[in-house]
Amino acid sequence: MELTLEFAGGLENLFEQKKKHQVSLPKTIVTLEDLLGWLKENMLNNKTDELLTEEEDDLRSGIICFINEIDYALCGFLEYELQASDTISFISTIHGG
Amino acid sequence: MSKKMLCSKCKTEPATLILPRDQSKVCKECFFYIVEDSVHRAIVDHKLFTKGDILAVGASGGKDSTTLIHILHVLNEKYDYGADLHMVSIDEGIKGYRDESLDAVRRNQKKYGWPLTIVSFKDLFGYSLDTIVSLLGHRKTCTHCGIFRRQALDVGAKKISATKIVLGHNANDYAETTLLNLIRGDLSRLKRGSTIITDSGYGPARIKPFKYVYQEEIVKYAFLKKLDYHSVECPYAINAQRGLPRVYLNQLDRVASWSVLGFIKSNEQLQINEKKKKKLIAKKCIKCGFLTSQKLCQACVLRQTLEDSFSKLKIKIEEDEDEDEDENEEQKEKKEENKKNKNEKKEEKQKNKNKEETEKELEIEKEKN
Repeated sequence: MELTLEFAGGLENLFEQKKKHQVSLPKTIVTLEDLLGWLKENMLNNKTDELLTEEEDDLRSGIICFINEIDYALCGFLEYELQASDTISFISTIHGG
Repeated sequence: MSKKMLCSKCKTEPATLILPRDQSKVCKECFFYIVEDSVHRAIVDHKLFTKGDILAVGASGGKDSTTLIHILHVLNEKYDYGADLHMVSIDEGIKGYRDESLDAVRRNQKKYGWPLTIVSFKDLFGYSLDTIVSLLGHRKTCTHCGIFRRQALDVGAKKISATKIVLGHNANDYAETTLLNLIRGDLSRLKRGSTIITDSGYGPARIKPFKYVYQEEIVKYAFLKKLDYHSVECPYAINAQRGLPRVYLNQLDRVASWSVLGFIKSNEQLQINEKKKKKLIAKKCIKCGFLTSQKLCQACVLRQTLEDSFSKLKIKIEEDEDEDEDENEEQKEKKEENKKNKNEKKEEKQKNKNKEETEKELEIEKEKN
């Protein structure tokens, strides 16, 4: 499945200032929670704690998430089932100011 | 699915957002309205400014000031405030940080067409923040920066004859400051930190229209409006003291979204019986003429410290030079290295010294522009 990931509010600093990433996910990745696990394995390297909690199964406090510009809290949180060509945005609220 | 849930405000559009202040579900347009309206209410209800005021809006290129500029731009047209809007930026001289955020400021200046004034530490005081750090070490950097920045902002405001300085402090900043001053037991600062207008009598009053706007609302607003802001942490802001209250408030916010406003409301209602307060009388600094309560203003005291440590450094380097037989480019490079080493040593010395120092020095760590 092809998706667009977007990192903003300082999270783009994890990816050399690149905000938008086109990714191709394996079939095993179904929910937003699966995506977080996939991100950890494939994109975050040692910077997991910038995005995820210590237990690594949820977004850290101070990170907000939009799915196609809709609050992920209104899409079922981590249980949201990913759709082809979704844009998933992660934004930090605590960087700079 | 939940997508069909309607906005709790207009009851016609589907809700697409959670409003951080009360967790209500709203649509995008209502969200924009709610955020803009709470800024408008703050301006009107607290009479932050009136027609004819010249506003120096502190522009750092970060999320708060960028969003503030956008919203003031929108409101000034919508409600015809008749305010004269200017951007004022401070260039502390932090390589790889401020230069980039100033680029964001310039892009926004083009977008909104406001005049922009940049005041640099180097021009105003003779030292960039990077130089200050190399002279005085890493500790107290935020305090030093705060002293210079406060004055630089006043100078910038004066340049454009501003009648008010507008800053982007948000509700979370207020709550954090409240908590921090409670922890420190600094009651007079606790109370002073609760007002939406700060008028010290030195220079124009500082107003903070974002006082009741949550940080998360600002970020969501900026994201959905696709505002162009710079979001890199200042390399010197390793601020454990503010960090802990911030983390705590963030966690509290997850289970009790009203707590940020709760802190603000509580503080507003606090009455503190202070023993006879020494009345501060504004007088002119004998060196630079800036208004201060002391003989010398804090900026001049700091400048003196910098000059002293700079001349000490110079004497040492000159001594080293005398030992050298001939002068060529290589030697010059070496000297630079020496200088660097000395600075590092100085920093170490400073670090040792620091252990004895009290926490009080973090006072002005977050005078944002």
